[in-house]
Amino acid sequence: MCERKGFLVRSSFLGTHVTALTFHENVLLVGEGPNILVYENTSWKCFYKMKVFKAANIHGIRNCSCDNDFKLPFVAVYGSKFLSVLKLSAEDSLEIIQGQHKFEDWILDVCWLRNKNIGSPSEEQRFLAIVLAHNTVLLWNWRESRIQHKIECEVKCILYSASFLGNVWEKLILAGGTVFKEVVLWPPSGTLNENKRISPFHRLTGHQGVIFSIHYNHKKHLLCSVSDDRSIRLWRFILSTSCNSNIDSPQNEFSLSQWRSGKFELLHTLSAHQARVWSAWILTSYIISVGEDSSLCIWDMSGNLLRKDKCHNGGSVWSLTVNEEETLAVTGGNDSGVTVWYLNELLSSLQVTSTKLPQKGYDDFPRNVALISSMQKHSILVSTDAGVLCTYCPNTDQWDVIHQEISFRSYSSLAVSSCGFWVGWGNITGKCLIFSCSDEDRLSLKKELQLHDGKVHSVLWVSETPRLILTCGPSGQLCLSQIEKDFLPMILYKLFLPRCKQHWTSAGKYVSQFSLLVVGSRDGSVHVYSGLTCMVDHPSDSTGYSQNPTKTFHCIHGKNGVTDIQVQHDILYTSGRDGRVLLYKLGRNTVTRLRTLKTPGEMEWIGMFKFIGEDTILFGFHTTNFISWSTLLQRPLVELPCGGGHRSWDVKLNSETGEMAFACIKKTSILWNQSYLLKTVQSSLVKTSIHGQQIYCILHLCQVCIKTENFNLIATGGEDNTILISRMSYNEATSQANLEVLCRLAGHISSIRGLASCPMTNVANSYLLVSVGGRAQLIVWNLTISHEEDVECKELDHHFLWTVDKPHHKPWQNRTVETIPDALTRYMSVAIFSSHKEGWSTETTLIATSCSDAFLRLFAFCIKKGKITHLKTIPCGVNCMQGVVSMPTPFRCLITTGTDGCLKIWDNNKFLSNIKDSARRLLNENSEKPKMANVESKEDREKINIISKKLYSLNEEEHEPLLTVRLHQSGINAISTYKITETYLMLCTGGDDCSLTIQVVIGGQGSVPRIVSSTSVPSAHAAQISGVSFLNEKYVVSTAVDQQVNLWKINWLREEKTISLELLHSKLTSIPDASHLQAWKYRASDMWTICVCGEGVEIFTFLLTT
Amino acid sequence: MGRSSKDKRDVYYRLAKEEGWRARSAFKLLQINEEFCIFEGVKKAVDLCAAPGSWSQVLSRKLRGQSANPDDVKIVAVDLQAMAPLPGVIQIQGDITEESTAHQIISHFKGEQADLVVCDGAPDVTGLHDIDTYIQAQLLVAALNITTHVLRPGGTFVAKIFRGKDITLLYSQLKIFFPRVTVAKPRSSRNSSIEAFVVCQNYSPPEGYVPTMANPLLNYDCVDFDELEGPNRIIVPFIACGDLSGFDSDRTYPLELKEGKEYVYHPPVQTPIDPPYKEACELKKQQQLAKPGMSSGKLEEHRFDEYVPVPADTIDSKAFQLCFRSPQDNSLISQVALSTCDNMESSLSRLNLETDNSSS
Ligand SMILES: C[S@@+](CC[C@H](N)C(=O)[O-])C[C@H]1O[C@@H](n2cnc3c(N)ncnc32)[C@H](O)[C@@H]1O
Repeated sequence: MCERKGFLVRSSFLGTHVTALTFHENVLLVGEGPNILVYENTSWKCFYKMKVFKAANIHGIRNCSCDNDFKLPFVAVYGSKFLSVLKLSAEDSLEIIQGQHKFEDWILDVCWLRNKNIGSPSEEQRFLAIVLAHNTVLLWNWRESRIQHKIECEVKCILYSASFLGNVWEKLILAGGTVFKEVVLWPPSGTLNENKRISPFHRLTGHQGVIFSIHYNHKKHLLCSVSDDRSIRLWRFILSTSCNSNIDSPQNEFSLSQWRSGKFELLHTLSAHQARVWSAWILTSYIISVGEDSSLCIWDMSGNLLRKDKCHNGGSVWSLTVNEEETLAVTGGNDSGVTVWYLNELLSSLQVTSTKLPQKGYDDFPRNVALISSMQKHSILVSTDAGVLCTYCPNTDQWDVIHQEISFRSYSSLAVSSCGFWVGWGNITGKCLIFSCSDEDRLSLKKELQLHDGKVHSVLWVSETPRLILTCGPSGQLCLSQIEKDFLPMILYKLFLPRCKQHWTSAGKYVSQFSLLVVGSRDGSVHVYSGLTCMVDHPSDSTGYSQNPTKTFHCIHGKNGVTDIQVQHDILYTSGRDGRVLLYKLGRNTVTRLRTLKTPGEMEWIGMFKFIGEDTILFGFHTTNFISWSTLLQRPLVELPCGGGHRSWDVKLNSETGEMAFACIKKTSILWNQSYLLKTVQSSLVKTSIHGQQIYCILHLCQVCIKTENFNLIATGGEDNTILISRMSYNEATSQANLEVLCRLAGHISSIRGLASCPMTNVANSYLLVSVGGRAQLIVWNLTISHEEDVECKELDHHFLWTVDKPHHKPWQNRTVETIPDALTRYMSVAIFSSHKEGWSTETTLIATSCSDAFLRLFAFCIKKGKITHLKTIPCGVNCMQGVVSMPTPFRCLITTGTDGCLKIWDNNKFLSNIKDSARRLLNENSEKPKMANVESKEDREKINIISKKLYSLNEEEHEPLLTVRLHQSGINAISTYKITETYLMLCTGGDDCSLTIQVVIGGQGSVPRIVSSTSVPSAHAAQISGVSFLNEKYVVSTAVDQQVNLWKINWLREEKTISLELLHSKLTSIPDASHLQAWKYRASDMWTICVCGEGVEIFTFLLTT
Repeated sequence: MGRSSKDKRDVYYRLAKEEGWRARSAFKLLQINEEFCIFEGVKKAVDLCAAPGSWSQVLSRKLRGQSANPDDVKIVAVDLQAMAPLPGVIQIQGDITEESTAHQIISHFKGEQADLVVCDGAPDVTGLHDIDTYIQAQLLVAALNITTHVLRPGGTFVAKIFRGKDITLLYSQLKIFFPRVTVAKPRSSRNSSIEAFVVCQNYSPPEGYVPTMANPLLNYDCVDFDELEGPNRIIVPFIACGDLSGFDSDRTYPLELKEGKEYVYHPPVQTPIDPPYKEACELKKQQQLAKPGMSSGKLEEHRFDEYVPVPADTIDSKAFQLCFRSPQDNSLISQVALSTCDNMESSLSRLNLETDNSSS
């Protein structure tokens, strides 16, 4: 209607809640917002996408494949009050047969009805049964789009869920779930009572809350209902004995009289979900349920929980479907992700098996286990208390003694190489035995080495080619030896491990490409020894254990030790018992810390990890369970109860066969398990997960041209404490955009509310990113786009206003933090700003955060030192602050907004004037990081204390804003600035009061800013405005919780000093609860991109021709 | 985080406890009244979706306070959930969207009419905004329908709304019955939340309008979805109410609100009696939630209903909590204050359960 001047704003990308899933013929249909996506059902390739509804989300997709003799090529798609009938055509596209029919009320379920009377071919099928939210059923002739009957139930109330039982109108039963905790079953074709309504047959009571979904398995006569009370109730329908119990149709359908006289019996109440349950399916031998606690539960028919897996990135699991063969389940979530669960693989091995050592008349017990591959089989290698090394083959239940030696009694240390063919076994006397096996032969002793003059604390295979073994003897003596096929061992290097409490290594990796050895120790430190080449004629025996590490990351994994070290390309990964995986960049002689890998919060510690294709699989423990977790799928693959992980254990995963073997020791038993995960590992991903919860902020970082490709980098952050760095690409031919998640940045402990960035001055395609959020946390990152079109993300520094109670990964920092008791302050927004005053070098970035405790806080980040310093705390009134933005140069002002509707302009230079001396000195000299190795020293601690006291003293300072204006009745949720000239600036604000304002500010070059023109549109949106962004001085876009994206024309007459806004175009977004928006121009064309975020992300594109 | 953390993050939650309100929502009604004087001359009022009852408390205190004879005042409170008694408040437990409940309410007004109908109803939001706003709208429509039966011409109707994409449709429905419709946002309602309140004044039903129970106002929903886009939508004026210099619900306050005024922790005043997740919470506390590999038989052994909720304090002190006692020896297993809406987060965190983040 308002397509004036031909603004064709189109939605080019949408990532939001996946609320419907259905298998149909050989495809999987996915409902995401108003769109239907069609995926091939084995490769999971998306080959078709279509927007089905204009203003509604898809809540259900129904076909009629539940019976073999009743199949139609059609699917009914519904959502809100709309229904469409689609057909999958031969060209693999969807064809709309009946589009967007609007009903009077919300649709809860749709059922394809058999043509009972006609008995004609299915093409003649004409009727759908539709249930509406006020407990009303419609018999709808979809071909003629005509309502044949409208039937109401006697129980008139709002239903939260409903499900049809059967598919023949005359025998159809509706099961409706009420707010009042009941499932009401009634027959739409039954007899009307005196009120012209139908009385229910049954009312199932017992749930303690709203019923969210109902599923019926007509072969087993079982019904399940799920509820607000977090339980699933399983009911069985039993025919009454008085009634003739022969079921009169091949479809197992009961007649209405049978339905009436029979009864429902509660079989089980299933409780395992920790929040509301959204949906459950009854299969032949399992029940699957999903819920708000982002987990999927699989139960057996007796109500035992078989598996419970967290998935979808901490968001709700909204949708669930199972294929006809019941071999796979698919779930869709809040995170826009869709993932496949191969039931056979998942349920093939749920338990560990327990084995004991064969008893030989004395009490022997296992000390260490490891997994080896000999004769193409996994077997378990065990070293025992009696000094026996033996293998156990689970498949044949056979034990073989490999070696036995008295000096290996009561203590030994065992290690198997990652290929599974090489074994190192060390003892208390400094001896290490080398065994190997191949595909043909069994494990045998190949070499005996006397490496140390005391206890071999650990044995580690640190490299395959060359084959290197690292042993750790007493007092930190490390021996790196090469062992090749000829078994002529050669000690290459003798190294010294810096002193620590448990003075030995726990993980190691040799990187031949860079001649580096990286070692992890029991105190959680990572040590790097560089320049270790593996020349064969390298002499070394003579030297003592004196070589120190060239670099140490002190206690980087907390107190409990480093568990594994691996390398992929030039990125080093370390894992620890602190449940984290850290990334580093490798170079010749250098190792630089990059960032933390996003790992599941519930994994208490990570013991090992393995790269398979694009995936990194983590192995670790949660309470008493062993877990293997896929970072690609962001969900567990296997979870086994094993009694915790504080004893000897091993795991091997073969990427070609998908075979996973696990073994551990529990008391005197060996527990083991074999799982087959080929499909799970290879093709479980249908659609990538974005954010699990609401997105609060979006930032277009840059648009650069790399190898003729336009590279748009976007950062998003929100409720799930994660920052996603994504690449946006745009296909001009299809006008479709795509978001590819490159990196998930972990580190925030509460939701992320603000992002800001600036380019690094000295490095091309490199940016500083600042993120702030809840619990008064600020992180500075560096992002660099490499030539491989990849992005390298690095955490530079981290700042809290308070002391973190858990071990900090940079412990020396804890001490410089001023402890402010109030840790609950939220940082609402962040800006990077500049100062005119000399002395602030380009090496220092100034950061301002607006805080929920009504303060503005200023920080400096020194690039050279990689350190954040808190400069000042400025009181800003009595209200919670909202936004902070920096005016473009030459204005040198900060603008802040608050929940009182006031906008304030502050002078940057005044902020910084009187910290010239003290703070600058602190920044440049005193804040020298203490040397990590001796951070414990008393002297250093005192020095740090002095610094922190000094900082505290210049903490709070009163300032007067240059300008204060009240623009809105309540909060200013959105603000955008645009520089028109060197003296004129435009400001746009959007408020909680639904109004939009534009201000023209004159200022710059030292003059006090003044508003010269101003306008306000009171009801610019129907709900609170949450995002505004200028395109240029003529156009601005806004979005609000009413889900409109409005494009406004700005009419500004400089001479007359008048300004007005005119709504040009309005477009509905599919993102509920829109919280932010940003617009930018795409490359050198006239095409603009608008990115809206909230409960998901939507990207709009349009041409702006002036 | 300690028990005071919620007090720091949510000043109105804290004030409600200090002033003896059952929920922080009380301030919303008080602030709406400051702006619109909705209690003026009101003797008979209906409070729909009233549990745990802070709006009823406000009505009871204000109406009975301003009336010469407090017994002339009639307040009918309705909720799905059970609610502890209040002086002069008639209580009905039921679903306001259900016809039978509507009849029950109307029956209390035989021959008389109410001066004010308020509805603070909200579904337990699912997180799917279209469903949540639909249900919210249905609560509003149900409330409006009840209102058309009981409200005197010229009376006032105040109801909570979620400002979603279909909000203009609701505005157009309200406009049919009330010439003055305003959207109000009390300062005690979070800036970021989607909730707001419609204040509908001077009830004037269309001429010849006969209230009916059968099809609650659905017929009026004739606006087409095409009208969702574009500028011709019905938009009603917005008013932020409450004192600007008063407390800000978004701000994080220090525990010492005024200098020298020492912080004292106050327990929640009143909590709903039977929240749906009570049993599940208890199972979790007892570590009885199923874990893979555990047989379900165990679950049945410790049924929740063996634990008896006992008021910890006497009822008239209005502070009562749920105590769970062991069926074996009657020892106190746990004492929990469970609650809905406003202070769910804190009680859940005390129960060591994940909270839904939507509320913060
Ligand atoms: C925000 S609380 C009301 C708080 C109340 N005004 C006070 O001040 O204490 C919302 C209430 O709506 C109730 N509710 C939700 N749906 C309802 C329905 N269909 N019928 C009756 N009450 C309902 C809930 O039980 C809940 O107690």
